[in-house]
Order: sequence, then structure tokens, then C-alpha cells
Amino acid sequence: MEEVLLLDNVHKTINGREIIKGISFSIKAGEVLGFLGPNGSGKSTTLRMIVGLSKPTEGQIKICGNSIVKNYVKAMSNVGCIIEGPDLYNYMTGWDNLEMLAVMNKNISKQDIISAATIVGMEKHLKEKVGTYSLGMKQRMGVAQAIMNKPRLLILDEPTNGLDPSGINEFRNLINRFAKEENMAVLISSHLMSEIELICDNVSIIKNGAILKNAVVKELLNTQEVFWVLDDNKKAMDILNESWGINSKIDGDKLVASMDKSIISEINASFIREGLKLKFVDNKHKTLEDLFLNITEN
Amino acid sequence: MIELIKLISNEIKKIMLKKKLLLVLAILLVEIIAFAYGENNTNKKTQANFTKSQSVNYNWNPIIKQQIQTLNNKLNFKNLKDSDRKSIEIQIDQYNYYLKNNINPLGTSAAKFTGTLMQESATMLLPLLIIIFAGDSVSGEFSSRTIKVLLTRAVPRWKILMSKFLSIIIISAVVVVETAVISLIVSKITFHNWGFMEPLATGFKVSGGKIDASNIMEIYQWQYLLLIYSLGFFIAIVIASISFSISIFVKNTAASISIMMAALIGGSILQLFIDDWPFAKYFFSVNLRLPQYLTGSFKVVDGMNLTFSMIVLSVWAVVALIAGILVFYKQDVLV
Repeated sequence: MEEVLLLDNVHKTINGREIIKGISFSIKAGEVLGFLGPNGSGKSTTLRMIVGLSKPTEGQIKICGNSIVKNYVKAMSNVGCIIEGPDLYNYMTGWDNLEMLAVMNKNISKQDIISAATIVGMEKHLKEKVGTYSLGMKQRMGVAQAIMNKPRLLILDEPTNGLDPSGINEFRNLINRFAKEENMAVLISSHLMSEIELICDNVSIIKNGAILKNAVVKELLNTQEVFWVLDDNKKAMDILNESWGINSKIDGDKLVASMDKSIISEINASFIREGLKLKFVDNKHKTLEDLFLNITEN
Repeated sequence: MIELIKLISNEIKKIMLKKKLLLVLAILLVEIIAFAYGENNTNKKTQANFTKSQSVNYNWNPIIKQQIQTLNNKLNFKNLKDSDRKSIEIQIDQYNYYLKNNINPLGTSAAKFTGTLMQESATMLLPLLIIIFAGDSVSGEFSSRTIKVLLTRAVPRWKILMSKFLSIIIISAVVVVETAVISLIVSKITFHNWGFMEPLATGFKVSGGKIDASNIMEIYQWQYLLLIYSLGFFIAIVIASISFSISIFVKNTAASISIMMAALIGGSILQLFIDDWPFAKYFFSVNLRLPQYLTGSFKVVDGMNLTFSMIVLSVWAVVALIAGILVFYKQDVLV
């Protein structure tokens, strides 16, 4: 399957300082990629380069095979995006905003505008001025303008900012629908770990302008951390190592290991068989946030 | 092409929804009504003074007839220069016009008022009206951050910029025409006669440091109005180009308006020093007095005439636009 978005060794230097230091990644159709990083890591800079708001100093950015620098119009006709806030024209109505943006593209019909607005649930508010919308409504309008042209690549920079829990839930369903039903490739940059966990297939973690880790979300989350508190942790550690082939470490009064949850009962049984007394066993549900903090703080 | 037209109509819609055109109209209306009232007031006072000092009512018919008589006599002098002859003939035509139409020569007509309005507004008022929307077209998009949503479309940057510029040109034409129309209506109500067929002299040149009237010719007020308002439109385009580019550089509406106003005010002050500082005549805002060249009512400065000023203004406009386009094309959008 061809990549919908491809970044190849992209560099960006501003005022002599290199801000983006050779980023490469790609997204396929139907895939949802989470772009995570601490503030100042270069997420926004990268997203702006992808949509042509900034120009890369070096490297290639291709959307559906078209270079954003050399074939701007072809590349951008496959893209819908929200960059840092749904900034629409406050003095115009929702409808006027959408219509005005739609005429800039040859292929968007009036029906497309209406259906985009309906998908985000804003069809009843189109006659009001955007300046009177709540932040959640503005976010939804932002998504509407991004999907009007039925893009193959959807880029969302911090899209759940300001949404209440039900809004976030709706949003998650929308993204799922875009990716699974419309086969859009979606790139989401966010700080909301719990949402990235639920929405994204893959994540790229970026810090200081470089990608630290590309990972599949499912794999990351399956790795569970289990800990025991026994009367002789050291002996248990040896048992785990020799009989089960599992590496573990002693952390204070706990014996900690990363492993598959399903065999815990058997391991517990074997500890007891060897004469150990089991005080406590539990697993620490590792979230993406733990992972994120772990990686970015090292 | 069609896409460009759609883009231009988008931009015009934005200007109108931001109520800038309304603001311009309001300013024009208030200023023109004030000027018309002021001029009418002065005319009335002048007549009143005449009546007071002469102890007779101001009756212009005999005065005009006398003037015509005197001028006709002058025409018969032996050593009359050609340029003087023409000048006198035009004056006679003017007086005959007043006589035939029973018009007070001390009064104002709608056409004369409208012409004078453009003459006086070309340096400051008209530019201000243009700057109101030209200085906001690009800056406004940066301040409200809507530039992001505008530029992340499948349309190249140059097309978006061009549509903004062309929309400003169109609105400038509307403003110039509006000025003429509002002025004609208000002054017709105030001064009662149109005055389109009143003759006047134009074609003054500068030679040897003095105004040369040897090639003057007679035209009607309505022709003069067309000429003057065309010059006004030219000035509007130049001012629009320069403030458009400044708004690209500073990305802030208040700053770009202030910079342009400072340049205009600086220009009007520089007029005082122009004689001794030849370099000053290349600054754009000292060359805005284009209508004055037509009527011969200007301070003579070596080397400055209509052609010179129009060339200076054109160069400023073109250079400003090119610089603006280059900067807009290359810059990273960081809002």
C-alpha cells in the first residue's frame, strides 16, 4: 500500500539553530498515527512543514506521492487540516466560512459542505456568526472545514483542546469512522495520552526535534508490569529467571517484571510450591502516559 | 481565471462584512457635508460683507458685464502675448457663462466643489480612506490567525495574494467614485447648480522656475472632473500598493496604518524643505499633489511636474509590490 504521507530526513533550521533534526516517518491509508512530544519538541513545526505553512531546510515531504514544495496544489488537494486552533473568520457565519473556503477548491459542492457540517453536528448553527460559537463548536467547525474536500490525509493539531468529555468521545468516534470507513490517513498531535491510546494505531514520539521512538500502540499496551511482594524476593527472582526465563528486578520491597498477564496464576502457584509466602501480587496498568514520561525524561 | 475571480469575490466579501466600506462611506459623508457647509457659509459671509461695505445689495450682472468689457479692451492691446491672449479669452468665456446662466461668480457649483474636493483630498483624506482597508487586508488575517486556514488550501500563495490586491484595487475604484457621487449630491443640494459646462483653463507647465501658461486650453468642468478623478484613482492604486506591502511586512493593522499615516504627514511637512533639499522630491508622499498640476495652483519646484510625479509614484508602487510578494512567498507562517 502506498504511503499517503511520507517524511524523509526533514530538517528545519531557524536563525542558525537546527530545530528539526532529520525526521522520517510515514502513514498509510486508514492508519491513525499519534504524534506525541513535550512542548517545544517540534511537533507543530513539523505539522506546519507538512501543510506548507513553513518550508523545510532539507529533506522531502510527500503527500500521495506529490512533493509539498514542488507540487503544492496537487499535494494540498489531498489534505484537510487544523493547525493549532480552529481559527475561522469570527465576523462571518459558519455557513459563510465553509462556503468561502469551499470555493477555493474546484471540487466541493454545496452538498459536500452540508454533509461535512452534519457529520460534526453543526448543521443547526450554520447561520450564526462564528464569533458567538463556544470553543467546542469552533473545534467542530474546524473539523468540518478539514473534511469538506474528502481528503486522503487528515492532520489534526491538538484537536481535542477545549472539548468536554462527551465531545472527546464523539471526536474519537469521528476519527475512527474517517479512518476505518473513509480510509483516511490521520495524523493527530496531542497531549491527551488517554485519547491517543484509544484513537491511534501507531505513535511517533518526538523530543528536541528528533523522533525517539516509533511504536504500535497495541504492543506497547500489552506489555504489563507485574509486581509481587513475597517474604524472599531474591529467591523468587531466581525462580522466575531459571524456571520461567523472565527477567525481573527488585524495587524496594517489590519484585517487578514485565510479562504477559495470563501466566500469573501458574507463577504464583510455583512460588508457593517452592515454599515462598506470597503477600501481594498486582499489575501496574502501564499507560501511554507512563511510557511517554519514561521515554521523554531519559 | 475563474478561480481568481472567486477568490477576489471572497476578499471583497470579507472587506464588506468587516464593515470597512461602511466606515469609509460614513467618513466621506461627514467630511463632505462639513466642507459644503463651510464653503457655503464663507460665500454668504463674503456677500454680506460686500453689501455692508458697498451699501448696495450684491448684484453680479453689472459687475460681470463690466469685467467682460475690461477684458475685451485688453484683447486689443498691440503687444499682447499669445499666452496672455488665451488666458484672457478663457476668462471672458467664463464670465459669459455666468451671465448666460445667471450664476453668481462668487458662488460654487456642484462640479467646482467636487473638483476642489479631490484636489484637496488627494494628499491626505483619500489616502487615509484607502489605507483603512489596504492596510488591513493581509495584517488582519495574521492578527486573527485566519491566515492559516486561508493558506492551507489547494491554492498557491501568489494567487491568494493577487486576489487580495485586486480586491483592494476594485474597492479603491468604488471609493473614488463614491467620493464623486456623494460630493455631487451634497453640493447640488447646497449650491443648487451643477455647473458641468462651466469653462476653465488647464495645461499649465513649469519652465524656468515659473508657471508657463503658453499652452493652456479651455475645457469644461465635467472634463476636468474626469481628469482629476482619474488622477485620484491613480493615487489610490499607488497608496494601496504601498500600504498593502507594508501590511505584509509588519503583519499588524495598527502598525501598518500608523506607518503610512506617518509617511503622508511627513510628506506634507517635507514640502517646506523641498527647495533646498533636492533629494526629498523622490519621496512618494510629496508627489501626491497631482491635481494641482492641472490647475496651475502649485508651488514651483525645479524638476517636479506631472510626468515626474507620476513616474516617482509608479516606481514606488511597483517596488513595494515586488518586495511584498517576495516576502509573503518566502516567509514561514508562525501564528
